[in-house]
Amino acid sequence: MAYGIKVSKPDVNVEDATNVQTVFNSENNTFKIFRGDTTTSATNYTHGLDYPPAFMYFVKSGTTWTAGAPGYGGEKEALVSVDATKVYTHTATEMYIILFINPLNE
Amino acid sequence: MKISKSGFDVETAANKDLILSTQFDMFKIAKTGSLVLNLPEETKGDGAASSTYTQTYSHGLGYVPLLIPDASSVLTDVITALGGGEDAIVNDAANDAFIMASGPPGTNELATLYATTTQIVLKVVRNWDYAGTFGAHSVTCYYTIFYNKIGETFNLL
Repeated sequence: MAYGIKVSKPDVNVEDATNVQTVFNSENNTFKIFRGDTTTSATNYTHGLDYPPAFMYFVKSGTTWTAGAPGYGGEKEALVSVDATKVYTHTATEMYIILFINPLNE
Repeated sequence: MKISKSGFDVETAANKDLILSTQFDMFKIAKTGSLVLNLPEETKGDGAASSTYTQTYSHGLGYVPLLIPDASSVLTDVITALGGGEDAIVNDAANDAFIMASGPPGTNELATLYATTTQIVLKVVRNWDYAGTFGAHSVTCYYTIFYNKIGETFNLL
């Protein structure tokens, strides 16, 4: 590491810490969260970037929240999708969508 | 504070060419751990009522936190007559393709991980559209809870 920032976990010498032993290492990219939105219908909205962003979403069922889509194995349906300008939701079930600055296709 | 990727001038780098920027939020890990359910052998007939088992962890955050893995109705077991009864790890099973040959679609064991304002819950449901025996086995889910809050609306651009 020529220069940068590295922070090791407690009791680990930062000089020889492996990646798994670091809390932060500027050699490794991070997810940069820029937006969070809640949707309650099948809709779309402009995300403000000019490329498809990486994303995560959580689905509400009653009073509980689950990451990702319902269904099992390879039959899960995609409830959220993105392109270079917009986010698309495909269900009226309440969802919370997080968008990252990180491009989805990099 | 900003840190650019290698080869990019931090003064002019686009946001996507930054390793870190304090303009944006990050995932902040609150807790990692595992939930384990030790399930009994169980036999029921055609159309019997399902059985539900839960294991919980109280996160103490007072709101619904972001949680991984993505585990919603993950197939974790089939009846013993079809080779079931093995210990299952939800994180592994969540990425397995569903195999129709595993048995009657309505006779299965499915796991879901979800969060509430007070707990995270590993729930396993056994369904009996058709008669069969589920063997005794364990279901384990390795989880990560973040301080980040589900439902918080914001835009940092």
